[in-house]
Amino acid sequence: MSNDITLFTVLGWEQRFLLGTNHILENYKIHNVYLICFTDYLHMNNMNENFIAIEELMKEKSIELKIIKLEYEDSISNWKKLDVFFKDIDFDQVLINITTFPRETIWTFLFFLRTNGACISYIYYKPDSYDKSEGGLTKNHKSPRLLFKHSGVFDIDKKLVIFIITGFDHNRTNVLIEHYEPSKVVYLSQKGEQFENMKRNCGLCPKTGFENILIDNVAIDSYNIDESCKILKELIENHRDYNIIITSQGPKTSAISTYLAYLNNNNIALAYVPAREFSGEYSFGIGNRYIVGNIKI
Amino acid sequence: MSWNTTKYEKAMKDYLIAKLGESEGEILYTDYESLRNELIKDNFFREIKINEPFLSDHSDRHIMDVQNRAYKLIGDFEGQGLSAIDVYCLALMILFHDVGNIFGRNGHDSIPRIAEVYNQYRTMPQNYGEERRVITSGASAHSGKSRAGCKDTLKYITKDSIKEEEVNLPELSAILRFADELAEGQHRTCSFLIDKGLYDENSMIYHKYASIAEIRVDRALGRIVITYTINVSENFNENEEEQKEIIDLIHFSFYRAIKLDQERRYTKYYSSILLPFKYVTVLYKFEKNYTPLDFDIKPIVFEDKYPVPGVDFVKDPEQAKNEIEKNHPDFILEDIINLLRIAKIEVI
Amino acid sequence: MKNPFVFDRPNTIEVDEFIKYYIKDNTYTRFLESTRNIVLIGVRGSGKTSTLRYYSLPVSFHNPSIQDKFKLVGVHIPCKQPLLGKREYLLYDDQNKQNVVVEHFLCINILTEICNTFLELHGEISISVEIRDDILANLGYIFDTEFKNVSSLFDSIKLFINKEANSSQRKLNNENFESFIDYALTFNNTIIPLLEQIKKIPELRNSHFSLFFDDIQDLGDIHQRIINSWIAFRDNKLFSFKIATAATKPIYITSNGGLILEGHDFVRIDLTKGLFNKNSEFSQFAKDVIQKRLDIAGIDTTVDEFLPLSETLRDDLEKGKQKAKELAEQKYPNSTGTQISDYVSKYARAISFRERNSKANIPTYSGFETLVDISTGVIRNLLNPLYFMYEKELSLNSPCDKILKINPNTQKDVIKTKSDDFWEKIRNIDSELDNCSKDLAKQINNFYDQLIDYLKRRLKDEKISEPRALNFIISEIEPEMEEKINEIIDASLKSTLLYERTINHKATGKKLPLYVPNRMMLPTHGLDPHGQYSHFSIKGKDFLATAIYNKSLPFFAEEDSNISQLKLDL
Repeated sequence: MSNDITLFTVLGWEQRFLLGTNHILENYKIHNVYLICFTDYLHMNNMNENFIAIEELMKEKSIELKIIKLEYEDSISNWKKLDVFFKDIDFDQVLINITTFPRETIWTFLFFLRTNGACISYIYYKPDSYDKSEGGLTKNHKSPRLLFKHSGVFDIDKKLVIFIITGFDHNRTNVLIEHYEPSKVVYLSQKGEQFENMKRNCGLCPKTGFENILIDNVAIDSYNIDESCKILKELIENHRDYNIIITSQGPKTSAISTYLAYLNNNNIALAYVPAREFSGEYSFGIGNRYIVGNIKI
Repeated sequence: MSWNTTKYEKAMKDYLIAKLGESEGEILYTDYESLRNELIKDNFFREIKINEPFLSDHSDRHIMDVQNRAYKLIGDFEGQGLSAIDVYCLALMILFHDVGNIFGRNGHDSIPRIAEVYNQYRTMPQNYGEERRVITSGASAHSGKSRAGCKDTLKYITKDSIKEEEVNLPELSAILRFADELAEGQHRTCSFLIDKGLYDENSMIYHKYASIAEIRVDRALGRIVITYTINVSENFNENEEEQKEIIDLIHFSFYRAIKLDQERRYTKYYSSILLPFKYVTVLYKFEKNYTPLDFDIKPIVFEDKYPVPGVDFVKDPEQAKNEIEKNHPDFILEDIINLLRIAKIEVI
Repeated sequence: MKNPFVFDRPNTIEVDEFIKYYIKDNTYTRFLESTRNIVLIGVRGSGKTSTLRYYSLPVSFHNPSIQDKFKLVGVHIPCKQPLLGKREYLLYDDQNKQNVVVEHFLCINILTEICNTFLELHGEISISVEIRDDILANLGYIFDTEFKNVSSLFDSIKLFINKEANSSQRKLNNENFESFIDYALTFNNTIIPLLEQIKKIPELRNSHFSLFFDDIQDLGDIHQRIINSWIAFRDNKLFSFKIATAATKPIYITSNGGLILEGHDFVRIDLTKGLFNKNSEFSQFAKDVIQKRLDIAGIDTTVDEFLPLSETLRDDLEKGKQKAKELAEQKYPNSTGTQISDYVSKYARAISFRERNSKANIPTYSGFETLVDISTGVIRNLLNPLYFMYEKELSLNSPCDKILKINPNTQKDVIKTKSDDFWEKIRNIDSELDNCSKDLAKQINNFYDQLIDYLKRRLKDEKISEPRALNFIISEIEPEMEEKINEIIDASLKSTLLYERTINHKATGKKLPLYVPNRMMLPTHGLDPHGQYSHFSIKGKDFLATAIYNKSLPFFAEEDSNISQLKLDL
């Protein structure tokens, strides 16, 4: 890669944030860093310490650090801010550390960077483990929302299907179904035993009231983005008689594959279910594997 | 009840400062406030009751109510093109519009009576000649008769000025008149005195009307909303006297609703600010022993009447002639023809 | 054997079956047959969608009880549409532009449903070629388009709408979405002309079109305000609106800041209204619903026989009655009028619940009346437990056996399970509700735990005059308390832990909210769901102390004396 790599990363409270940043700085020639700070989550554990640490790290490495302040709760203001931000600056080589990015923000950045003409790479760090406490990783979910400019093209004659790449938060899945009342749901559940996946990500917890919904189950490996894209493409093709909404609630890399699926067919809509509460721990450590790739548009 | 700063006053203060600057705006507002405070401190409005004990409420509360109604009618001072002096004058006009009642109901709206009270409370009244003229003529037009002796009091109100600042007096007078008409409701009467029959016979119906009326200004939807809530006793069916009272009350409410609509159409003729108020909707709600009854009665709607070409139009010239002669006695065709017959031209 | 108490979503049931099962609730359905604007307020499961569907043309056309099929043309417009979930309009700073976009998509939705309504009749209306061509020509002029000549009038119009929907969605998603504004659909320039044109069809010459918006609370604020602006139209000859909402506080503001007013602009129908007065019609309605389902299933029995009261409960109630009578005779040795019977009526049930064996399990909740009480007036809350009771009874019997009654123990078990589920919902209220924080969830749990404890103490107290009162008002609310109290109450109303009614204070004429706990929460704790038509007062400060600090609700046996001042607003 050339010298002029710009890194986009989100200030996080997990251990993966600093550990991942260190790894990136050791292995990539980062010219400058844009640190996205969600001001309404600065109260989470370790945020202040992590912020100071990253400031010091950038000073030490003589890398320019710029802050982009966003509000997780305010998707409208975020979009407008980023619209202005990306109009003012040109980007060439960009690396997005999606590890601590909310999925909606990943999609938003991909949109703006694509419009900006940047060459986009992404990197994702798996944790050693996730929080196993009963409260779940996220709680207190808000109503789902369609991503701006990615809300699809709905045909008034077609029924609705939702593709959900499921995660460990069953309620987050149910909120989506209750909100849209689709005719069909396709659960795409992660393969493998990592993080007690088979126990926690059974995907299917249909509540009373979902009896009239057709359900399909598909196994997917979201860490393999090419394969995931292929599966999604096929599913979209098989459901051409439906209006399609896709959401990513599984591994963070599924945000990439869902976005690529959208680029392939912009009649589909991308939906996000915001959470108001996140587990204070969320995850521990950093795994020995990371996933890196380029977005070819 | 002591005076609470009204929404009109709050908005007025901000507006005066915005338009005239902090210093001048504050001075003008203080000018208004001091006059208001003098009247309040002296219990002026409350004392109106002494002379006219059976009148509906004309205390501070009524004045505040009229101001708030005026504010709702206008909506936005700036947007409606009112100047700072307009807003100031209207506030004073509202303050003084009913002061004549201290002398008795008859002629309460006369200029001399209003002026007498104004002079009593305005410090150094000799310095406020223009203001006095504007306020008294504007306030006087809210009811009664014009100087020409007719009820079209707004017709003779013309634009005026104070210290070379134009005052849109016709507009303000229309707003005051209509706001006063709308300032009706339970707060103007006492249910105890009604229940005990302690108001005199002539004014009882007005008090009963006040107790049932709720009037709302809805500028956004261009309407005035009247809701009448009428309660009857549990043995209404056996009580003929009560039935008669309720019938009289409903009749009176019809009359007052029509009058209000008439005022709406009349005042908006003189006021561009009141133009958006296109209709009045009147709803009757009934209760038995204070329990709401579920009648499905549609509201009565009074709308603007406008001519539709070809509809209810005169059918022929003969009908047109009759129509004009009926409304214009100076233009009886026969008389015109006679005049023409006897007119001679002098040839020089 | 099909379960007669299946509760499908009304939109998914076939028309004939729907007509067979539907029971009209005559307390309010006459309003839906009128040309007035209606706002129908009811919690989820109270029958709003069923009612709107009943009056929609595809159903009313096949309804043998309706003579003039086209007098009222009901168009059912569900609001859960992804098209209406698009949010790009929020990126405009200008409110007017936002309104333009939202109104455009609302109109697309309405036009679609108008077409679907007539298409569902599968050619029952014959439209001559001349009339079709005339309508399409006029609409083509008005909409500035050329309609494709396909099989039917409404197919042609639908093609146009689909094209328009596609095109406008693409504009909205692209770089320069300002271009969208150039020609946007509005109610005035599309819906009204369309309705006027289709009145040329002979069958529709004298029709009135009722536009039914279902679950309007699922729409954004701007959507609702625009619809309110339409409701404010003065002329209801051609069309009217029937809006169904589950919102506890519906939005009445219009898009230009006005307010639509009950009585003047619309008739408000509160579906929970019938529950809590003494002459509740819900009980009769519930009986009719159950009886109909039994008849359709060929189960030849009455509702009371199908849902018998358990002998144990009957005995307990009888014992309570006897004891109450003895106490009354002691209290009123020279009784006059109805003194004894009034006393028995007031205290009998309380005594029977109070004097149950403390080691015994919860009462054998059973009987039709118990089910009605527990449903708290929501039809789904009645049919849902019945469904599970029937399933359980099926599982206990041989497959060939016809189920002619639900054993009281089965009834009790299912009611207990449902009640436990209800408490599970309270425990996880922050997952159930949108925007419910952990703190708020804790406060809600505190309050209901303490409320149950209070109701138990009330039931046990021998001196109190209304021992089975379940409903409450909140009094002495200081301004600084309001926000918090409202937050807890609103969350409770949204999640149907509570329902709200209005009562009149006779002396002041003031209207006060009366809160009715969802009676499903009572069986888990062995309380009597039947309740009494009275209420108690909780002071604002006590309410907050309970919610925030988990303090007990103060209990004063003498407090009931003020209740006579309050009258339920029916």
